[in-house]
Amino acid sequence: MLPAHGLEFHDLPGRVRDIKHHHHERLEIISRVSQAEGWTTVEGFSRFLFRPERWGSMAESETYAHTEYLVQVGLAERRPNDAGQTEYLVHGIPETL
Amino acid sequence: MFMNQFALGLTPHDMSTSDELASLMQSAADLGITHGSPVRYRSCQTVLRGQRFHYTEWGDPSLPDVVLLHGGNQSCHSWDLVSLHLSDRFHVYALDQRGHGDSEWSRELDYSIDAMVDDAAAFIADRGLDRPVVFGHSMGGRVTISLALHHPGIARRLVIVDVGPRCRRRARRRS
Repeated sequence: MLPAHGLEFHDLPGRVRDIKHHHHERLEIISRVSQAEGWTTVEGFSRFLFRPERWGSMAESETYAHTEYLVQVGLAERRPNDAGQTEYLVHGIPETL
Repeated sequence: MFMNQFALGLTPHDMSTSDELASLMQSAADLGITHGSPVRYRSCQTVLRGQRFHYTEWGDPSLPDVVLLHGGNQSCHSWDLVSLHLSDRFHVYALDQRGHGDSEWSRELDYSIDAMVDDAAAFIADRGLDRPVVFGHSMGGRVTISLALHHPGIARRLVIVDVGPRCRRRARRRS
């Protein structure tokens, strides 16, 4: 396989399993953060998902994909806060993806 | 001396019988990537917003239009295998975005996503395309997302490859 970024790889089904597992781990972290912190912005969640040297637009873009996924499957709510940022409250995560 | 062939003026340069295409077709064969034959492939230039842009054009103009926007530090040729594969079913344009490939560098050193969005919109208008399918990879994906946001209806469909939208710190209204 020739991925859009990075080196070529083989074993596409294995790669898909790895990505789904990684995605599920990220959802677990987001859910725990939301339980502890309540309503949280994308930037706020990203601080728990990434090391400081990774903080920034790419980290937030990936975090946003996770939070929007949870909204679309009915497991999170989204609202604008007073600063005009979108914040999320997560109620749970799917058992499997 | 240039490493690759491309149109030197506004007259398109036919690449259909070039060594470059023959080499690409060999690569496609090695990788099992199919394509039609013969292949219509041209290198072209145009002027958008006071700046010279290079692009490649593939396939019959009567086919549905597709616009391909490459990633950062890449060029229209990053799409060559994709363009070749699509060229028997689509009329494909792969644009060298500002400061990339054989397009002119920005005289204002403006390589922002917003500038590239305006370039892409100008390119679609310049070519007279009616709601093409727009593909964007990485940086080009960011351009594609913003293009759809700021020019609703300009694209029939979007194909976003390996990138998400940029999250701004606060809502911003674009003039």
